[in-house]
Amino acid sequence: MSGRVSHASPDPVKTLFGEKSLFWPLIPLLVCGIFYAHALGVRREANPNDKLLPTPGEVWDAAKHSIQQDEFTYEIPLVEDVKSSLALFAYGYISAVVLALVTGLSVGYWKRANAMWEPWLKAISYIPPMSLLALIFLSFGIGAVAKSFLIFLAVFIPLSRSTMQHVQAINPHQIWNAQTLDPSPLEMVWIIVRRTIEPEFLDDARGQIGIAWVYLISAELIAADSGIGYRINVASRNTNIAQIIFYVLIIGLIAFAMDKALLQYNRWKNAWAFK
Amino acid sequence: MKHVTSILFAVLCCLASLSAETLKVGTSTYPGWMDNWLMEMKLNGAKEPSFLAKRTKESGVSVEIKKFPLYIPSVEALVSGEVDACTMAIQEAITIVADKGIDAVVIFPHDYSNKNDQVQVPKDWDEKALQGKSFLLEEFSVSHYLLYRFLQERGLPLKGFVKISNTPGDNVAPAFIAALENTPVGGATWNPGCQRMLETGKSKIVFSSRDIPGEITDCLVIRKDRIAGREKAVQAYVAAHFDVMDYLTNPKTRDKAIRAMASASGFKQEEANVYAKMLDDTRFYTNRKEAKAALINPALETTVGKVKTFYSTYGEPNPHAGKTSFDASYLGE
Repeated sequence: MSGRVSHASPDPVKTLFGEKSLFWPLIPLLVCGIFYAHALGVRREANPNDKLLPTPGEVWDAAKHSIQQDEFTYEIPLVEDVKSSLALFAYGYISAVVLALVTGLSVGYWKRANAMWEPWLKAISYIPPMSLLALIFLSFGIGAVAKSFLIFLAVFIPLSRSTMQHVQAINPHQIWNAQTLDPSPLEMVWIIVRRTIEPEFLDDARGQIGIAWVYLISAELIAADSGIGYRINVASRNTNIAQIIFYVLIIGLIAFAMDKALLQYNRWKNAWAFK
Repeated sequence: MKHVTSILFAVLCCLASLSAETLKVGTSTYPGWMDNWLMEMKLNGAKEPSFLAKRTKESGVSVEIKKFPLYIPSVEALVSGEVDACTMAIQEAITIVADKGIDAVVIFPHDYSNKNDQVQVPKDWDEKALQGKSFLLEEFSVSHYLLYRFLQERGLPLKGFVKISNTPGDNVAPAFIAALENTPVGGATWNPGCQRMLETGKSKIVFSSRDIPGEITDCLVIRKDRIAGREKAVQAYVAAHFDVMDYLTNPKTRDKAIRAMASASGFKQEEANVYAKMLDDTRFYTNRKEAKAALINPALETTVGKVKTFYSTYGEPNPHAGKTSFDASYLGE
């Protein structure tokens, strides 16, 4: 994470064409925008009621409708959807992260635990969780448990394996040094080993946020009466593409905020690793 | 000994109260079943309870409505016991519920589909030259039945004449619309999907449930083994259903009812009039008397026979199928 410092004299961020100028990311956006506007024009000319490519105004209307109180349920659709999606996300993702940490530490540090579990973690990692969808719904029902479990499975397996690998990659000298302080086995694992791998662990957990969203949205397509995935599904059936675009933007925003929050936490908590 | 009997009695009482459980009703989006959304809405103002809340409070029972994004999974949830009752067309009651060996009881019919189920093809297709064309529909569902009846009415071969690409019924519309862009196919599904397919302006109806009046009857089906202990809850649910029907037929509230249905189906506010048109394709049984007459009408048994023939034409009916019965007792005298 130690970024190479550029020694070029003008500030690379502030000049318009500098290496890190905010001008560059705008170019792909502009290109996409032009393509979209062109396609939009062509389709509207052929059919003024075309629904597949909505105008920005229509997306804005969909957004307004989503944040207004519903006339019949007295609820705000966006708030209800985000609440129910985040609840599922929290159950699945947090339980996966906590258990992956415990499993990864144990399996990585204790040789016998490793011999017992590593082959199984590896074997299960080859099974795409989506392929277990039908099984999960049959055994856990169609409620929140099944949906959170799907997210859990998708995050837990890769995360515990990568944690295990980080533990195994710790320099043995560091362990020997720590042993001179005579820690108990639990102190050894929970304090020394965990603190050593924590920056990498949190980075990996960050990477799994996107995966968890994939499975959250898929799970909500099966049986749900609220949630972001559910709303996208309903909108898709009504060819309300504007609504889909708005909800996709919301997902992006929430996932971005989660990612940044975890990154900032990691940097603050483990500042030593980011020097 | 006296103690033992009193303990036994207490235990039995506990069991009895346990068995007076929540009635779980599964449903999915279809104009005839929007009562399940409306009965939970606060249609009479934020402070007033919903129809369902009022009815369940009156009789001290609890009813839980589970809304499924997909129709067939809602029916399968009844089979797996995830829900006690479910809204479905009489076709699924035979081809799925009874076929999986479940004994089920039809409590009341909501409506019959009077054009809500349609077979559509791209506008430029010749209706006379459908041989070998692909149709998006869900196999063994009510849409498959509709296609079967279409072929039958036109005197076309029932097997191998058209190709079926199996797609969840609720996803037929988006798939059909996407296919129109480059590889057009036919499709059979129900509303609101059909409405969305027509809106593209590139699709036409070749057959609909209006051509077979009364055959696609939508009804509430309950598992026979889940009735005991839930009779009061079923009554409360049926009462709430007819509250919604009253609300829908009352000229003063009809407009709001339609807008609520449209909103719950994911229609935009300005599309409420489009939704109203679909209600003309739904022949509701708006009161207990009408519903009862339809439920005890022998025509329903005739339809059941037709569905069984349909199922044995394409599938392999389970020789140990469950029994589907009709119970009008919840509809009063």
